[in-house]
Amino acid sequence: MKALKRRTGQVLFALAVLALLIYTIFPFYIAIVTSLQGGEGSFYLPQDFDFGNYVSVFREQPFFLNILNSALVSFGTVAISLLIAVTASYALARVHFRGRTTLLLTVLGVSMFPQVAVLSGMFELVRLLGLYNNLGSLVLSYTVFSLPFSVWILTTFMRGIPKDLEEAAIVDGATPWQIITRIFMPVLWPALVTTGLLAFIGAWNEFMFAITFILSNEQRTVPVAISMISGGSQYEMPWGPIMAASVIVTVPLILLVLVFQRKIVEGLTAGAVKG
Amino acid sequence: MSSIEFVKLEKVYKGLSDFCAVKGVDLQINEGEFVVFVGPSGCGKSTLLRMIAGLEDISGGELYFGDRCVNDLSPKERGIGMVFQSYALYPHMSVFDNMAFGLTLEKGSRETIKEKVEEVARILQIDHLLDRKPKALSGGQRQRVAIGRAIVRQPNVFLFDEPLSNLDASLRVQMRIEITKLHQRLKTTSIYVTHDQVEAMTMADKIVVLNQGRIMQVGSPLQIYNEPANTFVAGFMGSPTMNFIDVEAKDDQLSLRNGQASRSFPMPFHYSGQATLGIRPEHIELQPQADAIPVETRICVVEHLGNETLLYLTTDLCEQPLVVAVSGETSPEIGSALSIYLPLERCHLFDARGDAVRRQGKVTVS
Ligand SMILES: Nc1ncnc2c1ncn2[C@@H]1O[C@H](COP(=O)(O)OP(=O)(O)OP(=O)(O)O)[C@@H](O)[C@H]1O
Ligand SMILES: [Mg+2]
Repeated sequence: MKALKRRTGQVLFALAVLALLIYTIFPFYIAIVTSLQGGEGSFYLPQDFDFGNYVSVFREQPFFLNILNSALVSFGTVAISLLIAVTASYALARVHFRGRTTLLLTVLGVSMFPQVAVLSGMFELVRLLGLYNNLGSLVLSYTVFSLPFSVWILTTFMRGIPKDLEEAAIVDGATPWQIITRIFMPVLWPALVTTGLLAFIGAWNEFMFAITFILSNEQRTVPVAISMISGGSQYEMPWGPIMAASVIVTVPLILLVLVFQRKIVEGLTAGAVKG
Repeated sequence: MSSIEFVKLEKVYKGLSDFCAVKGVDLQINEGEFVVFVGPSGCGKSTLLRMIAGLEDISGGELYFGDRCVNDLSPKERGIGMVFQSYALYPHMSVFDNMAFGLTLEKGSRETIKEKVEEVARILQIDHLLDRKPKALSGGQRQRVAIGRAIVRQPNVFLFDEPLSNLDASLRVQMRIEITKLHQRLKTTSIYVTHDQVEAMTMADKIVVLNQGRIMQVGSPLQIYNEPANTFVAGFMGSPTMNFIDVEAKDDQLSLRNGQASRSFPMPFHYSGQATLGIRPEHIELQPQADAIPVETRICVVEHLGNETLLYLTTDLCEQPLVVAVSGETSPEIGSALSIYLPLERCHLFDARGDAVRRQGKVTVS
């Protein structure tokens, strides 16, 4: 009786897991299947394996250049926002100064504005700096949006680092910069990877700024380039090429996560300050 | 190595309401001395130590290393080595890198760094652990690494902030002895903060007793034990704590509040007025003595510690029970009467403000 009960429990659990899996994977499944079909429209079941869509994506627009642009913008955003976020959060977490809490709350408040609200202001800024139709404009605006979040997370993590650790380094003769780079960053490695990854994904997938600030095909980033893929006629969506392009640009993200996932685990287990 | 001098050192923590954690501390520490700061929690020991280290700003007064004022120098420029209570080892570095960190920042050559670290590791018997991460070490080993990290740079002054309080009792004793041996070997001026009076008594050349940001007494361990300067030191140092009895002193006569009738004894102190008589539990005698105050008591609690037995005795002399330490073999009965004798030789007298009254020549009870 008891065994039966446990058995049903296990089966139900397995079903629940299966349902969840299907629910999360289904859209990706459709994307992959569609990208491999020759014809139009989307498909539920694979009918043939045809890489034609993948070839056409690269033939009909400078898609390779678009990927390169996206990579450039995303890595640039990650590098700049991590650099600023680490130094800012060191100050916010460790240096006592007046208005610290206010500043931290302002940082959080800024991140709550919807993108559209800053779009026009940002546009002025971009024009002022002469960055219109330049990838720099995207790095600038993405950094603005990823910074509050990164600063907030890193500040929280940095507060968690025991003060003794920093003081031990001071006694050892380390400058603030050396403390950040030689002690805090290695200790904060998992947090850095997480925030960096989120900033990267945000920049990689961003659409609105990308379509507003960039005019020429050669400067476009991937999301805009995909949206510009056109079909045989005005009235049909070229699902095949769109899905193929989407699959192509998602692969780097998945690889990135997989590579860093191991690092994240390593970082977490390297810790243990005391006890 | 250097001597240290504090001149009217002060520390005020600014905040909503300013808090004065160290109040005008004057102290002279000689070269090569092992000085222990003790005091109850929150008395300002760590604050004082961190001011010496340069981790805490000095709000007032001057701090000298040798004859150099170091008020505005960084910890590195002061040349100190510090061992933290939490060890504070860099978790991502191996033991070797932990110890070498300070030296690498000074940009020493690889060979000399390796040589120095390995020598210190040998002294501390951690040379087989150099490749490990702190995570893979026991508490005692971590403590050794922390000490190694402090001594490898050959600082002028060693600072220890309760370094042993995270260790278990037996390891604590062992590390205590090792730190003492290390000091005898290196002879570096050391300041050691603890609230464990056994550590203070056993390790110190000089004990500094602190309370509420002030120095209560400075002296050798035996001076502190035998001649406490005030009731605070008398009560803080020594375990179990000293017994205090309210008395009235007049014309070298001591009157005890003894029920209705009060009895007087001649005393070896020259003092008149309200006073407190102090006597340590281990100095109270059970056999009749010459020159001793006899007291009738009743046993209320018995604590067997093995090597000795503590008796808590109710008397009509004071509210608190008197504590007496007797040898471990005796097994007295709770509730029974007991006569005890307080040898005047061993008594301390404190005036109304709690300061010790100096002892006069020998006096005999008539
Ligand atoms: N940053 C601070 N701001 C305000 N007050 C502080 C600060 N740091 C310490 N204090 C106060 O200063 C006093 C002395 O603190 P300190 O840490 O020196 O005590 P301690 O003697 O080391 O005690 P313990 O034995 O518990 O470590 C305490 O009353 C504490 O509340
Ligand atoms: Mg302390």
